[in-house]
Amino acid sequence: VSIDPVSLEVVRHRLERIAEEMDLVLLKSAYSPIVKEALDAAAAIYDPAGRIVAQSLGIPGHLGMMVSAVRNILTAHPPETMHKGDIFIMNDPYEGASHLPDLTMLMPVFSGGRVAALTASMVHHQDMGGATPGSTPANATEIFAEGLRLPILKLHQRGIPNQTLLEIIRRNVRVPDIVMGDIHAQIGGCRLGRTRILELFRRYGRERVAAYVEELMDRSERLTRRCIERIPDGRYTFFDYVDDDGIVPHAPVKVQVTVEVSGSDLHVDFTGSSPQVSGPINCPTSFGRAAVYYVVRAITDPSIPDNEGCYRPVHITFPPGTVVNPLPPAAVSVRIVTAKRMADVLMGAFAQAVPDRVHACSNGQLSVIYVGGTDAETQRAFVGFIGVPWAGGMGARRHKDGIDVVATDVENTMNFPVEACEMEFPLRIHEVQLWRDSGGAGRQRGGLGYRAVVEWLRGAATMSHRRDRHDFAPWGLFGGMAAPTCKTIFRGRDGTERVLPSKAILQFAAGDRLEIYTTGGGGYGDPLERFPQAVLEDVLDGRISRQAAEDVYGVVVDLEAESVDLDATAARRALLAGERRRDMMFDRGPEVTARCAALDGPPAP
Amino acid sequence: MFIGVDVGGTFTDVVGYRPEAGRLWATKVSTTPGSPDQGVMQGVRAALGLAALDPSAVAALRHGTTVATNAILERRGARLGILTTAGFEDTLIIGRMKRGKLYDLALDPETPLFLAPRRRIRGIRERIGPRGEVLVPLDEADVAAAARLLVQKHQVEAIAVSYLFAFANPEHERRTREIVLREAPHVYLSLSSEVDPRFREYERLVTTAFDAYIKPAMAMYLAKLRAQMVEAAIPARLQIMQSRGGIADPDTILDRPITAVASGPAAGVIGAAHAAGLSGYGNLITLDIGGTSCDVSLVHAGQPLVSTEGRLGDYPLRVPSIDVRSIGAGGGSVAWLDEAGGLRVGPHSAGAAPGPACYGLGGGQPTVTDAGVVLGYLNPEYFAGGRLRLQPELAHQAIRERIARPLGLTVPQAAAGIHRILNAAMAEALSLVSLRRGHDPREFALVAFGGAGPVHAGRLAAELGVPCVIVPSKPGVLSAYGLLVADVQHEVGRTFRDEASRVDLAEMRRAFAELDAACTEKMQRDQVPLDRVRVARLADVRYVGQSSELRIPIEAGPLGAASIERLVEAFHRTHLAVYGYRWPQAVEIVNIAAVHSCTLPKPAAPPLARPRRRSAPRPKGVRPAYFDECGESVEAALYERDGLAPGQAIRGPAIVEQADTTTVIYPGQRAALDLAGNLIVRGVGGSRRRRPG
Repeated sequence: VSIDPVSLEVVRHRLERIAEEMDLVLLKSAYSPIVKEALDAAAAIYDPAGRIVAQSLGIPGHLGMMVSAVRNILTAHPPETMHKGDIFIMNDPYEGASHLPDLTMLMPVFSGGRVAALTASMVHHQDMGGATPGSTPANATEIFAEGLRLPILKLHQRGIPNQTLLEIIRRNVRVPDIVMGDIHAQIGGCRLGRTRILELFRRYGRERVAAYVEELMDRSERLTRRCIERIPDGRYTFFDYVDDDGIVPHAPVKVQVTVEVSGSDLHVDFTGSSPQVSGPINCPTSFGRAAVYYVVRAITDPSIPDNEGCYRPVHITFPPGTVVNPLPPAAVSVRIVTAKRMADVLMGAFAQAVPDRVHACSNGQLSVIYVGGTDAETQRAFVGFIGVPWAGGMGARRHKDGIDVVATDVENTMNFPVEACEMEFPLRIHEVQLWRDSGGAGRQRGGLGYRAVVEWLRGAATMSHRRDRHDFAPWGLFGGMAAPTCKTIFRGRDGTERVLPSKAILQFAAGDRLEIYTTGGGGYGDPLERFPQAVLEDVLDGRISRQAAEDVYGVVVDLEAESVDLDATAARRALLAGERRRDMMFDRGPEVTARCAALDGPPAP
Repeated sequence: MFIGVDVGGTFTDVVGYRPEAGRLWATKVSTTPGSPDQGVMQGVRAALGLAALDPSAVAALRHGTTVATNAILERRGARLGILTTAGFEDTLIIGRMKRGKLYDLALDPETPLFLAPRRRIRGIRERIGPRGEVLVPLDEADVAAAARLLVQKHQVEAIAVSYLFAFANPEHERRTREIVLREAPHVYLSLSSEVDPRFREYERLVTTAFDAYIKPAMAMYLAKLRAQMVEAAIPARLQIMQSRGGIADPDTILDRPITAVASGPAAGVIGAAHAAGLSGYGNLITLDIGGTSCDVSLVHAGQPLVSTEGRLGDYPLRVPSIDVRSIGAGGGSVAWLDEAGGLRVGPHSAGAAPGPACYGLGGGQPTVTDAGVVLGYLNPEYFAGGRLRLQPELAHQAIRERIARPLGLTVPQAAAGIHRILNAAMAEALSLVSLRRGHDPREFALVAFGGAGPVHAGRLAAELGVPCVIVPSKPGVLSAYGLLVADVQHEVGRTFRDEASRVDLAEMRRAFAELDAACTEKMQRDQVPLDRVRVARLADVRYVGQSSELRIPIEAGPLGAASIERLVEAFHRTHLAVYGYRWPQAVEIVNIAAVHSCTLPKPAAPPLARPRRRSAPRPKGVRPAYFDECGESVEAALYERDGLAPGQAIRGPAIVEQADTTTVIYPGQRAALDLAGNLIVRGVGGSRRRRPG
């Protein structure tokens, strides 16, 4: 088949649009707030060899996330054994899924009597059973506590629904109607993809489409390789920590990466990361791969058409038995914590190679606080989450401040509106405000995090609190400073006060409150070089305190006149410049630097 | 005479209609960007001149304005202050957290931070709960202090008030207005409970803030225009087009100016729907392709699709609007090769300056317009009615150097490729508006307008299986025409949340009575006969647990248990059509709305006379044109639109030229003017040749 460059581009548009349309149908018709408001779902088209042809892109963490699942399904059920009307599902992280709530579905597309393509969808379901609502118990030590584990199974066989399986799922989840609704939405998405692919085959011919897909992959590979060639060859190592595994408080878990750039190939090796842990932060390789893919796309060229070819130059080593490649039956439900840290350390490694393409560390965590119980008033069982932003601030860039409270790197979820949350669940949110001084200081300042106060109103509930960066701050770059660490304070109705570790499960009763502080991003460049007017604006807008303006930025402001005292500022900056070490590539914050030294010897250069 | 004036970026379009004479006059004058009211008045005078009438003959002046849009796009709105519930001052900054550009590490914030810096956003001690209950009473001293601070220290001209759950209980916002106006009688105010009384605090706040942001500019503009009308001795009423496609009194617009933000595109859709309706077509996809963008919308059974979940760029804007989707593709879209030799078209555009290579303004990049020149579709001497002389050799050169030579194609092949890729991208976008709404495009007709719409429509229709293309007679002034044919229309909505099976009917009747009363009050301002007002009721419905809704009409007549049952059944059916399944699950109502409309006398040009004998149309010449399926240049017959008589059959390949557009009739297609004056192109689409309804 000869390749006509125009048809090639037309077919590419079509394939990408099909994946996008599958995703849209899925999102629009889904039930659970987590899918609807957080857009935690993905759709993709694969070829019969299990290679990515096109994928929808709502959340970077979904990049290539279904690859392992799809390949394992194809190994267990080679295309020639599939039948029309078959639908496969699975959620076992040890067969290629990422954690139990993420259900992968795969549907063969038959053309000319054989499987010519596959459509796949993935949804983060509201609940998959297990010890706590939402199926992400922060204290699980085995996957068995995390919920219903489905190996590769046929949900439909030759078009006939597997009632046994559906009934088992219904019986094992807390909100069966919602889960069934979302499974239906997944089927709808896959079916739509199948219809559209068949239309495409009719139009261009199956063989021709296959040849075009091959060519598109080759081209994406060439484009990605060109970008990698421009990165200086070398080995770049960086490490950081997850606070703990949720079982042993404050016992840091190391994540380390070495990126070796040689020519147009990237070797990414996580050797040096901690052995797998007993808590649920172990990150299956499917999700770790998504973290690597995200960083590769962000620092190469996101306009390169996205398919298997983009990832051919990337070679990843996940050493088995470590926190980035756990062996069964390790618990994995809170793997996002580790995946975010993997994105952070990759950014730190690339900062050494391409300093103007990266940002300082972002807040590095996703605070998901699940609550579940029975509403004392309506007697309805519910699984919900607390409607405050899930992310904090973004790290500063070489030429721009970080953005306040925004989804960064592998995740890209929407927050749940305060009003939706209070209408849905028995809780009250008293405030959600930017947290002053939570953006790391720098010539470019990190984006701010937030402070929120939440009160439980009626009855009892179980809360699963999973966060991170309570112990290890987001680092600053090239003289920029670290942001503060996160914290959560539990205030009981009886006046008790308790500082929570980053991962905790607790019982909530009416009148109990949580005070949540989520940090911002690290700074970039020396804060003493920040434009004084920008510091003044930050003080006037309450992003930094007057104290920090003077002590950290060396800027003296006159609040009455809304102006900078230039003479006092010059003097103050000269003084601070003499007192401070200003040549650090990374600043991990004073306490952490001391701790790192104790754990590992001196920090990275 | 009824006059419709639509202000665009370059031209102000005017259409006048005189019922007594049964005649339409159309013209264009230059837009006067600094004070658009002057261009409007020049347009009115031009129309009067054409009809040889004096100002006292103007019966109504209907107007589509871009003042609101421009104030936002150019960031020239009011100096704004915002009052929120204390503790939630940062709703505007935090937004919904999600970013639109996934891998762009240099991205900018995607919330409208330019509306007000944090220091001008003040929290007020008060709190209302989800059922409208007062949890913390309004701290009136707090309001007064904040108002003084904003007005005296920060010099704000407008204040937006958006408290949590104000849609469930507007009392605190109303009391806040009283206090603010006591402190600062001249400040402009917008309350979220009036602008967008529905849940989700970020979207409501942004909509309310934009409303306040454009209020002073809109008030000043409308006052100037009214003064000019008085000065010109025009006794007529001024009426303004709203984004939802109905016209309203200026005072109604000033209550909520954000409802007029997409005035022009809405008028275009109304005009297109009406023009196609004259030929008997009710199911339409409208397609307006200009230099930088392509606007698409769907009309079903003569009714444009109205959505309340609109967007303005990155920002949510929840006001009822005709659902016009804008795709960043048009004549100026640039064709380029990526490093792997892949041919790409867009998303960047050469814009108007330097514009396509053939403009000769220094733009060397090949664009879609350049491809149109190379293919022989566009007449270099007659582009935009001859106002712009194109340089074909520059178009050839750009495509040869940058595309054809590197790809080993001939120049026409490369140009045809550029069109094919653009058409494919646009077809994808077009199918979004139809298929995703559960409609089959094969049951629709494509109404093409804008300078480039009728160039591409034949191909797009073929791609989508749309059986016919309609090119209205005056595609260049369709928005101004739309102003003359629009209804007076008002929509008022609110959150009303209840499971369908246990709706409190008395409560719902009360709610609708309130909405009806609000609509009636607005209708009275329009001085229309109230007995001719039609009332429609709508509900936003979803399955319990879902969080996006479908808008479903409630049938007319008294509201009873049976109407709710039928609403639920209609919802199940629509859900099946749109998302592919229905589900035996509880259904809940989330919001309700009342829409009141009153049809005004519409221009009715007498139908064209059918010629007694069938004659062949006479071409004004031939031009070599390239079509993929012919594989080489062929002689395409060239027709002047004004020279065509109804029924005369044109066979493709052919090109029909007129001052404001070019229609390409592709090989195998045929076209003819019908008695309504529309050019109908057939033989374009799929196997089924159903006549669209």
